[in-house]
Amino acid sequence: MNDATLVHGLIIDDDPDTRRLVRRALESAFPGIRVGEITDEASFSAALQRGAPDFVITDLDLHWADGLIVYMRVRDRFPFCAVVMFTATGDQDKAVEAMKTGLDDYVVKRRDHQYTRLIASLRVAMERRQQKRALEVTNDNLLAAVEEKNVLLDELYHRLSNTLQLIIALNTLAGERVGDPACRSVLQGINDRIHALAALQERLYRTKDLSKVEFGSHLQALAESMVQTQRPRISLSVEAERVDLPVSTAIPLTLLANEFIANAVKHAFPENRAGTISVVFRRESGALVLRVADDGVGFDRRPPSDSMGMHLARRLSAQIKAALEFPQAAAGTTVALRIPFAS
Amino acid sequence: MTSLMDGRGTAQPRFRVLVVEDDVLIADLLVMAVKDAGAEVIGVADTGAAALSLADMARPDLAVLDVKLAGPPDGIIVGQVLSTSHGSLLVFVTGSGDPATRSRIDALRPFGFLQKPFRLQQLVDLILDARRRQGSLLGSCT
Repeated sequence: MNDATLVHGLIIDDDPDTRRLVRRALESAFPGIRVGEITDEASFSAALQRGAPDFVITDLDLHWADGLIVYMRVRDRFPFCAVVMFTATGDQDKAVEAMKTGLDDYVVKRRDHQYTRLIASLRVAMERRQQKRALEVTNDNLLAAVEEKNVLLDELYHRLSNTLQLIIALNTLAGERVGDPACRSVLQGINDRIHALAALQERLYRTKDLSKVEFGSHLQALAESMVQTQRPRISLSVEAERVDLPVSTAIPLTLLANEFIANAVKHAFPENRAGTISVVFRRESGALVLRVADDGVGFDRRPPSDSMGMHLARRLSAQIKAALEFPQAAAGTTVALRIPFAS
Repeated sequence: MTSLMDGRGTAQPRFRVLVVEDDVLIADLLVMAVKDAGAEVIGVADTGAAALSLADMARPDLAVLDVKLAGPPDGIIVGQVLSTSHGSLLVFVTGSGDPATRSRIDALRPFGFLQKPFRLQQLVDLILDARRRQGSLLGSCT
């Protein structure tokens, strides 16, 4: 505490001589100090109503109240006010107890040097309370900043979800108005891609870590929503290892998985026939492998290589430096993507 | 429950749905799903107050509710009133992912909850399920 700043304190003691001597010691230690003397409940309540004092010096033994209660009331109302007990020898045990609940210090009334010790103790206590206050203010500011960030993030996420839904509504409404089935299928394909990206977005938001995302469970949920809601006669098996991926990989990989699964759903099982789609995602010797296989109508039904799906598959696998493979399968079609991955 | 004749000449009980959504294009999409599920749209409300007065007149079997509406009451409060005074089933659609909203919705034990953006088919399936449960969809549809 800088002695140049005006200090304001209270002395609570029944004995007028003690109050006078303490006041004298304070006035010489802290030039310009304002000291209030508390002698009864009325003056104590009035002091509590006024602004926070920098310190309170109180006796434990008071004719008008229990000194411990007086201490508690000060501490409760002014958490950053230094409180030091100035007590008779017999009260030491009680003072020690009070220390455990946040009393800054106690000084025993003796003949020699008691005021010097009281002033020294007061300086330390005030310094500590000031630091505590500064820390609390910093802490409050930080909490407020975090809270504000969370509110903004929620708001942004809400806007984003609504906007994506709006884009899907626009595509769907446009689809209702075009008669051409090929055109409608293109619009539906765009909606599916938006859904796949939105699902990734939601997962990112929910994990509160906006830089990486656990891809395995995302892939599983994506596959289920694509196959089960649209084609209940196709059975789906998913074996997806839990792997955290950076967003920069997760976004293109989401679109790639969407293309592979959508391709199987749309083309492998014509006329609503039954079948199985299996999705595997796992680490295999220094690489991540995504494999989508079906037991449907086979290789020759694959769309021409200039289709949108094939175009996306080639471009996006190049972006994540992945190898795109179409291994020969006994039945149906298999597509595999090998992504370099250092675990 | 009232009945009407469907195209095949058999009596199907009507299933009446109220749509509460203040974004008109998304409301159009919700209406499309309700119709795809063979249910009847008794009205589209863009505020909570409009929803409550529509419901008083038409007593919906089910309400599809957006949560955030312009001004109080929000969709959750509307849903609570519809559920207690008309016994309507509730399906919430919301873009909000925050846990407080989510737990308010869960407390109402809604028939369904869809996070925006949802697939049209998801909503159609929910309404078909609700119709089966109310007995307004006769036989199996799949």
